[in-house]
This record gives sequence, C-alpha cells and structure tokens, in this order.
Amino acid sequence: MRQPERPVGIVGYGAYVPRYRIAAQEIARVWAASEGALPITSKSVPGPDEDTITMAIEAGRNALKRAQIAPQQLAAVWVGSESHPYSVKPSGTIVAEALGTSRWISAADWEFACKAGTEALSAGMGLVGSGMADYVLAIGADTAQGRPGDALEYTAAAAAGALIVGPAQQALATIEATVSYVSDTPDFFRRADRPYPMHGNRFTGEPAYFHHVSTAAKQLLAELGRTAADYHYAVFHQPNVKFPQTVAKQVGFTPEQCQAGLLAGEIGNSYSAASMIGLCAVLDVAQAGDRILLASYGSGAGSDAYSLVVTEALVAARNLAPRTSAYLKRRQLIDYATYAKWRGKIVE
Amino acid sequence: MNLPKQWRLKGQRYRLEGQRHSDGRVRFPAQPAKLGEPQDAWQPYQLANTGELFSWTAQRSNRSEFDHEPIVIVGIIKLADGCLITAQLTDCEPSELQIGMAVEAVTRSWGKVGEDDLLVYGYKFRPQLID
Repeated sequence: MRQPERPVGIVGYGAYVPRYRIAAQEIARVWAASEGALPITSKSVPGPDEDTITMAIEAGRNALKRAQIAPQQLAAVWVGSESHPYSVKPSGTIVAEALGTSRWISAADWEFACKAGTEALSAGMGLVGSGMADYVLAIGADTAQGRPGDALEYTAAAAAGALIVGPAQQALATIEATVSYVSDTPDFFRRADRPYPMHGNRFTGEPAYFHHVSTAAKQLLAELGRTAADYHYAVFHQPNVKFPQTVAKQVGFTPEQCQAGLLAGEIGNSYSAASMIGLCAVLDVAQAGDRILLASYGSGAGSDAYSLVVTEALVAARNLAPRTSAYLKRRQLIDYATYAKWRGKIVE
Repeated sequence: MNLPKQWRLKGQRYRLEGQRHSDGRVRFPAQPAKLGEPQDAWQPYQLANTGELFSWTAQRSNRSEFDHEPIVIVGIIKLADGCLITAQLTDCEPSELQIGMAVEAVTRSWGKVGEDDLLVYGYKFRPQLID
C-alpha cells in the first residue's frame, strides 16, 4: 500500500463524453447472425472533429473549473490513452497549450491499455505527495478501436476523464492510499502498425480482468483494515456491464454501491477514461464523508486501486462545471453507415 | 504544410487569444504593431468563450477537406464580451439552431495538412451544454 508523506487528494475533476451514440442493436443488425445477449445498450462515438486530444482538453477544462486554480499553477499535464492521435508527438503538449498552462511543466503521454489514465494519477500522487509540485492534471482519454464485426466493436467507445491531484487540505476527495498490481498477461494487444487490437476472447476474463482487479481491490481493503461495507461507492473498470458487476461481487460490494459509477451500459467501454469518468459520476452525487473505492484495469495487465474520502468542499465545487449526466443526456443516435464513415472503417 | 505558420497561430486557435488596445478596442486575431505604433499599445486578450448565435448558414458544397461532413455549419457568434467572431458550429444540426441561442467555444479538429498529416486544432462553437 502506498501513501505519500504529504497527504493528497482530488482537487478538481472533469468528464467528457461525445454527443453521438450507436446502439448495440444497430451493430448487431449489421453483423450478428442471431440476436443474442448484447453487452451494452449503446456506446459513445466521437464526432468527425473529435479525437483523444480534443476530448482531453474539454475534460481538463472542466477539472480546472472545479479546482478553481489557474492553468499556470499546474506542474504537469499527463494524458493516458491507447489512441493518441500521433505515434510520435505528445498529446500532452497540445492539451497543455490549449489549457493555457505555463511552459515550465512536465507534459507527457502514458500508455497502459485501459489504465493509462490511472497510471498518470498514481504518478501525480507521487509528484504532489513528495512536495515537488502542488497540482498535477492526470487525464484518461480514448477513442477506442474495434474491428468491424468483432465482439469488441459493440463496446469500444470514446470519452475522457480528468483528475487534478493536489494537497489534501484543498481536496474535494482525499486519497487515503493506493496499490498497483501487474503481471505479463497477453489478454489484449495491438502492434503499432495494426489498426485494430487483438483480444483473447474468454482469456480476457478470469486470468486477466478478474484476477488483477479483485487482487488489487482486496489487497487495498486488507491493508487498510476495511471491508466493502465501509464504502458508500465502488467504481471498477467497465469494459461492459457484466464484468464490473461480477468483480464487485467478488470483492464484496453490492450492486447499489456500484450503480452511480457504472456508465458502460449507456456509453460502452471508454478504455483509459472508463474508471475515471465513473469516479467523476460518483463525485457528482457523493456527500462529505462518503468513502469511494476506485479500481482500474489495463490489459497487459494490471490494476490500480485507490481509497478516497469525500470532503466538505465537494458539494460547492461540483456545480462549477457540467456534470457527467449532462454529457450522457445529450444523446444523438447514429446509424452504422455514419459510424463506419466517421471511424474510418470504409476503405476506398 | 508550412509548419511555422501552424505553430504561430496556436494561441488564437486554441485559446481565442486576441488583443485589446489601451483605448478598449479588441481585435482578433492578434496582429503585429503597425509602424509608428507603440509596441505595448495592444496587449494579449483572451476572448470570452461563451456567447449567442448572431447568424448562421449551412454549406452543402464544400472543399475536399470537409468531405467527411456533408453539411458544414458556419456561424457568427456575438461573444459575451461583445466581440463578433465567425466560426464553424459543431455537435448540432441546422434544425436545432435558432438565432440568439446560447453557444460555447470548444477545441476541435480543423483537419490535417500535408501528406504526412499534421493535425490542426482550433475553436468551434456548439449549443451550450445544459446541465
């Protein structure tokens, strides 16, 4: 269990979800031979002028509004994603420039499949917790790729979540402790020259997602001397609806504890953003004193788990930027042809 | 591709950075001082990022870089600080637009330039998000 010498917390948070959705039934209409159970209702689709960078900028702006700090006070802008628009050129510098930060910052891109954003969060805890910096912006953002007709296409979605780590005294939610658990597990991967990732079907479940997430979450609870009953909310990485519900049960959480932060049914798997915007949605409704467990998952594989406690400052700050629900409500359905065109699936 | 040009324009494109004169006039985009004009007469000024839709039009015959968007909506926005700015509208259909409606600035892709795809980002406006 890791706890910084200087107590830290989330001083600002912001979500972003694109306006467009495609219904899972619409994908099934094109590809499925029979109508089986679909993993989600619909997934978010980035508009034709959106990518990981534009979504990270909007989530970052929302986080800055809630933190009530100037962009120049940030010491780092770190963007975690597996869909950075450039293979070589950082997203972080573009996001930082758009936010109006000082040039005397660290700006970098992080990669660890779906937990690249929480990797940046943990590193931010280190930078602020050591006293080297006061504020670090950690963003998880993705426009995920799914091969046409593949099971992944039903869920691979787009969104961004931004968290600003700062001193615990200013926090909307303090971070009590974190653990990270990783192993070399080839459940899902994509080489640089391949347009779509490869996944191991059922192998992505038990030895990958469930093992890493449950191990990290249980270890954190054990080291803190707690059980799931000590928490009001839990947010798990959500590649679909079933996985987080199952792992929550394994760790001892009830469906009610997970409901506020479970967005996958409406927007799909937003990869690096998934657990972070789940936390944003929880912070939109939590009250002072509420305890939150957050556990991300990244294929390859690993999980970062955090224990947070909401402070009195949250209620006033949450209205300073659009809530996650505002982005969920502006829902515009598109058909498969439009989706295929926007996502570059039509080859000339 | 003109990399220096793209680099030089990022302040106005990413952050709506213009200039304000000591007499209160605002101009956008920023320009160099004219001959004989004091270098500090115009100071950096960030335009308001919210406003109302002053006018708009939908273009249905567009240049090749917009071929992914069959309809491009261009608006004139009266910003909260009184400035008028021309910009593309996004996240909306023509049927959703009304003169006077609240809009807000967002940073979006403006497209790619050059055969190696330099990505260009800049301001667009969308109907204000309702919380």
